[in-house]
Amino acid sequence: MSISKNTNKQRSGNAAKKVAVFGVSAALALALSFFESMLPPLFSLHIGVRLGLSNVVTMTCAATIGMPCALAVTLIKGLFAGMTRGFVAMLMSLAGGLLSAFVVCLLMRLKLGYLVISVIGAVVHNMAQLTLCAFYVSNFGVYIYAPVLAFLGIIAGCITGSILCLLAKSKTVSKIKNL
Amino acid sequence: MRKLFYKRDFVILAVILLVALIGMGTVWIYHNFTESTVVVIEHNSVEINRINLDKIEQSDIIFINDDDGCHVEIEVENGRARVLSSTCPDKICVNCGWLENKGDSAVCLPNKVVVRIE
Repeated sequence: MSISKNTNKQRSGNAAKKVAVFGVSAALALALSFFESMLPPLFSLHIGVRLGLSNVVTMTCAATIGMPCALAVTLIKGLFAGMTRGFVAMLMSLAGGLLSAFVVCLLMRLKLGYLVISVIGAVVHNMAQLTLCAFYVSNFGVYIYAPVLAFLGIIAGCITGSILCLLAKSKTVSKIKNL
Repeated sequence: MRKLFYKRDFVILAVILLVALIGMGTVWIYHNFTESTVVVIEHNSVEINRINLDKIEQSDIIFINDDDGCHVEIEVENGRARVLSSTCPDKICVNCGWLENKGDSAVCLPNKVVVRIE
C-alpha cells in the first residue's frame, strides 16, 4: 500500500517536472527565434533563409520528453510568429515546424545519429514551407528554389544537429531524459 | 546513448546531398542555356501582366494596388525586372533583386504577388 502511494507521489512529481521543462523549452524556443531574427542573414541569399536555432529546442524535446511536448513547443512558436510577424509567417512557421517536428520524433525511434536526424528535419522543414508557399500563391514555379533550399537545409541541419548532440550529452539534459 | 553520427547514416546523408546537388545543377543548366524573354506578373493567382523584356527600350514601373492596402511597384528594364518596393513587412520580394534568368521569381506572400521570368 505504502509502496504504491510512494510511486504515485513520484509520478506526480515527475509530471510537474515535465511541465516545468516544457515551459522552459517553450520560452527558450521563443527567445531563440527572436534572437535569430536579429542576426544578419546568414547566407546572403535573399529568400528568407535562417539557421533554425529554435529547432534545436524542439529536437531536444523530441529526444527527451517526447512527441507531444515537441509538437506543443512548435505550436506555441508558430502562434508567437503569428502575433509578431503576421498571419503568413504563422502559417509558414506552423507548416514547417509541425511537419519537421513530427518527422524528427519518428526518426528518434530509430537508431540514427543526431546529425542525420537534424538534417532530415531541416530539409523537411524547408520543403514543407516551400510547398505551402506554392499552394498559397498557386504557382509551382517556386519549386525552382527546392534544390537550393534542400542544400541550405543540409548545412543548417549539420549545425543544429551538432548543437543538439552537445546538448544531449550534457548532464542537465540527460537528467530530463530520465524523468 | 545516441551518437552524433553512425557509419550507416552516411548513406542517407549522401543520398540527400546528391539529390540536392543534382537539382542545383539542373537549375543552373536551365538558367544558363535557355533564352528568357517574358516577365509574368501575378496578383491573387491571376495573371495581370505579361511583358516581353527584350522589347522594352525605357525602364518602366508597374503598380499593383488593391483594397487590402497592398501596394507593390515592379520595375521592368531591357532584359530584367525587379520588385522595387512593397508594403510587406519582411521585404523578401524586394531583396530578391533583379530577375534576369528564366525561372527566376520574386514572391511576395503577404501581398500575394508573384513576379517570374518565363
